[in-house]
Amino acid sequence: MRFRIHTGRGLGGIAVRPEPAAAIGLLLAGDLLAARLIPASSPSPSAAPLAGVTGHVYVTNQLGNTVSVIDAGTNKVVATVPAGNAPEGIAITPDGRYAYIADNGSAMVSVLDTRTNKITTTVPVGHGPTGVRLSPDGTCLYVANGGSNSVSVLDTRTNRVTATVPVDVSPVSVAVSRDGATAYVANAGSHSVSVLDTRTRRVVGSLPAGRSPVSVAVTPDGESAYVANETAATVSAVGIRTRTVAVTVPVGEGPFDVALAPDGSRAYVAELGPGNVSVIDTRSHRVSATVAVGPPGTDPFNLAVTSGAVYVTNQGAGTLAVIDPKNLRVAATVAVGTSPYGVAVGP
Amino acid sequence: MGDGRGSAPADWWHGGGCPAGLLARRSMLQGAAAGLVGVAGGSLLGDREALARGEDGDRTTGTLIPFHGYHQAGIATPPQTVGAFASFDVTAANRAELIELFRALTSRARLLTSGRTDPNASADAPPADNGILGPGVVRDDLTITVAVGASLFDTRYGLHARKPVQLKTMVPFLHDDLDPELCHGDLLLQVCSGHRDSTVHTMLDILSHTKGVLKQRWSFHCQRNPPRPTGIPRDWFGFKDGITNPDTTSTSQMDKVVWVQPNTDEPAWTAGGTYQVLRTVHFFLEAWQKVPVAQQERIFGRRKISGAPLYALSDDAPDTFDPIYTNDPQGLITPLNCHVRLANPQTPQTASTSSILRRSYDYERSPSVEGRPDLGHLFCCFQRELNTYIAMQTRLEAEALVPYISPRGGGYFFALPGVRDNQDYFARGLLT
Repeated sequence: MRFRIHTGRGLGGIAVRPEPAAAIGLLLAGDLLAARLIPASSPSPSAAPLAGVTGHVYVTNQLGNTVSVIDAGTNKVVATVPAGNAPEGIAITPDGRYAYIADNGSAMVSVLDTRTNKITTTVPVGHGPTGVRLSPDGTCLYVANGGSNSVSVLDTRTNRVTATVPVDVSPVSVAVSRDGATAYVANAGSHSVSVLDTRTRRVVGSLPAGRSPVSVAVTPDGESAYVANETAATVSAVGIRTRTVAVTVPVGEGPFDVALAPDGSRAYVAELGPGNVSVIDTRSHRVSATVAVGPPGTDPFNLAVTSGAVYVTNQGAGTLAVIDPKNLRVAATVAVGTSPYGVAVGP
Repeated sequence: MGDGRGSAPADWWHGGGCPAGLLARRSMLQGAAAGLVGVAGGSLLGDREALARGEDGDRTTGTLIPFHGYHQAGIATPPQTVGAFASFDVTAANRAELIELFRALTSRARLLTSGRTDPNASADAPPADNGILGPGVVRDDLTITVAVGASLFDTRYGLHARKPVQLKTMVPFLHDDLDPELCHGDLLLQVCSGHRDSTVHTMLDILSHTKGVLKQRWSFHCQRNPPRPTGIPRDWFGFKDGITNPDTTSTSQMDKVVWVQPNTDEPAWTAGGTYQVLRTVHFFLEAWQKVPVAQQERIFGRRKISGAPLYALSDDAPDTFDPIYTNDPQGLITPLNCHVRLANPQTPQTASTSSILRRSYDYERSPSVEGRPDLGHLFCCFQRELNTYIAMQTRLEAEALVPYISPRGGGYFFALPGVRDNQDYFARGLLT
């Protein structure tokens, strides 16, 4: 598939989309017509549930201006919610009550109430907001403003920006350490990762990276950062204390995202060009497996990893791939909206 | 219509008195009749074909592409190696003559795309066909595609109310250098095939059968370069061109992007047709040759050798890799003003004006009248809405490629719906 046409799906773009026997309560009278424009049975190549997986998966559809809500237990879309302009990165509060969405096209963050599936607040941030991450306690949201070389710090209790921190060129991805003390910002235009002290809200240092670092993840022990270098076809494993690249791992063309397993044993890498997810063993620093999510044109883009599942948005295919981390097979491919971008998992 | 006496093509058929001579002095209607004779003579020709193939083996490498269909061939058809484009003014005196013209075009296209030619009456008579293609059925992937320009819908034939709603005469874009002699036209013929003799044969045949009612405005004989070494062909800039396209085998994609659908704002007769845009674009190759490769790649937004997006490093990276730059807000990897990014910026605002079917060719007409190289691109695309192309090209007014190109000709046309069967003819829905 070399070209993205999304027949039907997401065209409405404005409709809450109830699936049979789910989320019927969300269907407001005014949405009835729009909701019916979207085929109820979008192509769903497979939707095998994974044992023991629960919660909801939220996917932003960048060209559809919507968020798809997927029941993680059934791998079915239970709602398609209107969102802001070009929604990209998304984060869910630990209690699952709110989703924070970077609206790249309007320099806003939208706050989605996951009970009503409505945007309750929009908060102005910097230009071209893309990657977002919440502190582990959910009180702070870090927004990478890719167009204005800064990070907005948003207090989720007041939904106000409390600090705007200058970083390097074209920050597009944020990671936060498990203790919440440090945020790491990948600067795609500067071959660097800014280290941000979340208490003082200042950049306290910088980690080296390869060419076009577009994604950063930090290990649970806080010792290492993994950085996807988009135009180098590598992932850098960077020692946080030493501030040096420990290992450079060659991966497939166009690594667009890297995410760590909750236990830190693996790093998953979305390789956009060939349509693969590579698995890096973080002890050996070798690619231990490569999972094909589709042919070139599938465009695996962003990742979200839980102990029970690896979720991958496929921008070209308009799908969410669900990989079983036990056998590294694609357990389900869920049709979502137009150009799915960000993905986050809530309880 | 004119008898064509004294002009070269007519002389080929100039005969005296025998049945072939009658066919040779064809009026429009006789031309149509000749086409029917050709089809009716199929079994005889089939024997000749069998003979020819038996003696010589397979004479050509192509196939016969069906002429009849809901859509015209030559649009979703994978692009053939050779493409000839000719634009005409229609000089038919009235609607009846216009209908005759389209009937004649239909019968010639029907015959020619069957790989056959008019049979000779006898060895003593002038030949019915010029013989360029030799005997037998010629399988050369020939398609003949007919489109009409906005000017056909002026007052001459009373068609104004039936004009496709978005069809209009091409207005110059910001950096265009349009030459009026290379622009527009009432009727466009696109003839594509595996070899140039087939397209020349077809053009000559159609010209000779439409004398007096079609007056040529401009024409280009073009080709698509072979894959070097694999994948999508390169243009004269050395870049792979026209990589991003809908899946022409997908009905849903083609219905969404290319084919005008029934029950829309468009006149009913247009369903199954599509808007066709031609742009002849001269390349300033001397200036281009002075640009470092890395800069050339940033102008196009793709790698030169592989055709892959700019994130891909390897010269072996497939051109099927998707350029995605939604994570590159400042255009540091894929510049904001490069060709691919302005054609499709991947934003919600531009999503509806970023999908067209590209089917372009390359031309070489050196030397120009000034004695300089004249090479370029015959950009050809099809889309369900002309406004999609106009929005896209308006974005491209700001592209970094502007100093290296000079759009000089072309026009906006509407490719007619297909000819359904032996009773149908081009533009029947428009004219009746």
